[in-house]
Amino acid sequence: MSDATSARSFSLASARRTTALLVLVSSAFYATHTWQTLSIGRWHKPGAAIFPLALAALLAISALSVLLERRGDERFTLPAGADLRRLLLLLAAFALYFLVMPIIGNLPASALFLFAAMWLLSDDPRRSLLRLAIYAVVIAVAFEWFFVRLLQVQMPGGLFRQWLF
Amino acid sequence: MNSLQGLLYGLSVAATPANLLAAFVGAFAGTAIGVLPGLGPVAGVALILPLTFSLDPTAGLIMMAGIFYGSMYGGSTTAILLNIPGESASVVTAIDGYQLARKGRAGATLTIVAVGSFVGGTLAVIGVMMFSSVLANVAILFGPAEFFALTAGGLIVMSRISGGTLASAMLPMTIGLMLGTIGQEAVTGETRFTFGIPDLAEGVSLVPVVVGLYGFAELMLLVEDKAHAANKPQSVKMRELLPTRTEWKRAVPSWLRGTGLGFVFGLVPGPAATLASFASYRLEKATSKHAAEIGSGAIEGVAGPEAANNSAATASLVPLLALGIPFTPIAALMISAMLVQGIQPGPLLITQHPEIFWGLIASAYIGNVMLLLLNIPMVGVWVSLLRIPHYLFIPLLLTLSVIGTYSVRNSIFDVWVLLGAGVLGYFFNKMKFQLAPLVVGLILGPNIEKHFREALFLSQGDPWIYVESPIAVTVWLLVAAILIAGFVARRRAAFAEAMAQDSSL
Repeated sequence: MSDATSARSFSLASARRTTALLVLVSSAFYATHTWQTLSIGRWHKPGAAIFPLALAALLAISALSVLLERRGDERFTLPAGADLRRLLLLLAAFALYFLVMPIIGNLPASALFLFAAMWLLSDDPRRSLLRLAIYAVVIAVAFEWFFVRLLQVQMPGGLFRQWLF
Repeated sequence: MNSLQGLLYGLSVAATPANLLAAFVGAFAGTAIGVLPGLGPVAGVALILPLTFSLDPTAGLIMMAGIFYGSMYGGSTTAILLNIPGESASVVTAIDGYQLARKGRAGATLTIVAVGSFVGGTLAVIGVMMFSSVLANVAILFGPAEFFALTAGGLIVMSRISGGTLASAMLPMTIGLMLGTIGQEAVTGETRFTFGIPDLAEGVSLVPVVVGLYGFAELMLLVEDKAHAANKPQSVKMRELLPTRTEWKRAVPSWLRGTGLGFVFGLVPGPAATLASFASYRLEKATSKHAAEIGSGAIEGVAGPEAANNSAATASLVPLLALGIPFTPIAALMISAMLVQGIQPGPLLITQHPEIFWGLIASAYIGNVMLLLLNIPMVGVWVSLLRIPHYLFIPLLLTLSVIGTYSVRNSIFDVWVLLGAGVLGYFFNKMKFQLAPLVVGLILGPNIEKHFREALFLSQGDPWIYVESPIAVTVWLLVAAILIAGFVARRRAAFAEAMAQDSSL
């Protein structure tokens, strides 16, 4: 039941090689930074730079072995179109969730995120917004009670907490 | 104290109300996690980790272990009823299990699987008891060179065995090792690669990375997968739960074979439970009297692998308890839990903290009993969990992962790490890179470096120390043997494939 338009396929081999190239470049940065900031030490007192330098070499070797792979025409798919928009919006909502959590507190932030995410993910356009809002609030309150009150887990209360209680 | 005394002591520890409750909560949550898609045992254990900080360390570890075993049981339930394995160790169970369900033997199969898991886990605990204490006694004599061989060599073996090509595992492994170097360095106290970010001074925290790679990434994949929502599991009536005499009789030899095989796999670094289940399936096909039926609904095809995967999961506690070396992401999380509580994992654990060592082993027995009782009558409950729509439980799990991750260090930075790891895990999954080596590399990296430098310090700069001791040499030879065997096997498989293609032309 997959839409022809809602996924784009990419070559597995070229994606892997691109990743390996990125890793290779990073390993060069990693090695240079190590060389410049950390000390090598002596044979009998190896310094903080030794292991990272060895790792940089290992990173480069792993990256090269991926670059030199001979793979077939395998492909993988990434969502596109409406699906991609939905995924990206979900990620944005997720990031916003913990950006605002220190400001408005765990309970409101969780409820808002739950509502937004449920709305984004429910396929049925007839889904009642009110029902989703109720679910969101109930779950958020349940989490707050279970984790913060019962298990004494510390979550941000938000800047306005003192005015509410 | 000998093994029997230790076990009795452990039972007294594990049978306290607090620890029994912890075992029950773990087993229950683990089964639910195994049944539900999108949140595997690794992410589940990672989310429990911050909760264990306020608990007694023994109770916390018991709960984490409970989730681990529980998810094995839960995963096989969905494998049999829906042909959807809850997690990778149940993939094999789905083959014959689903066929048996279609023949109307779902209930009986579930029972055989539950009892088989119990047998596998319980017998394996006996092995763990004996092996761990012996190994711990030997390992007290190990020095940095031996530990370097074990940790570095084990990591390499684990990457090789993790599935896919060596390159698919080595790249993430070295990335994990590199991430492990961020933060304060153990010997001189210098901070490395923090780039002025104070949250990085203690290094990259394990929980956000694990929850991101295993939890968040899975959830992202689930968002794409719309086909799942349409599955309706068949209902299982209680009356159908008992297997026939023949089915019991056929299951027993498979259980025993699976347990033995699984135990061996558990001792080796790598994804023990998954590998054990596949190996057991092949063994059953090779040795069972009813081999021809395997693949189209033979009880041996589920009895053996399920006993094997529980046996392997239990046996993988041995390197953790006896040596303090984690070779799987879950073991890494358990080590992390111990370290936070100020407990040093290692060969001295059995003498310094016998309540943890023996308590954990004993609670494995208790956990297996609980799971047997939980799974057979409660099948209906688990199945109905699967009816919860995606739009409800994906946001729920996402919120849970934020709460769990934040609560480790009260750090929003950690939640950003969660997001980053999630995106990384999503792409790595798509590109067929292995995730487990990254996690184990992250936690073992500082350990490996420590032993590496200590050895040179001890030998006054003489690099031959790494191969001087016979134990270190043996370990390296084993590592080399496994790598070469893997290489040869691949060459042979590629050759055979090429021959087959030629002959079909």
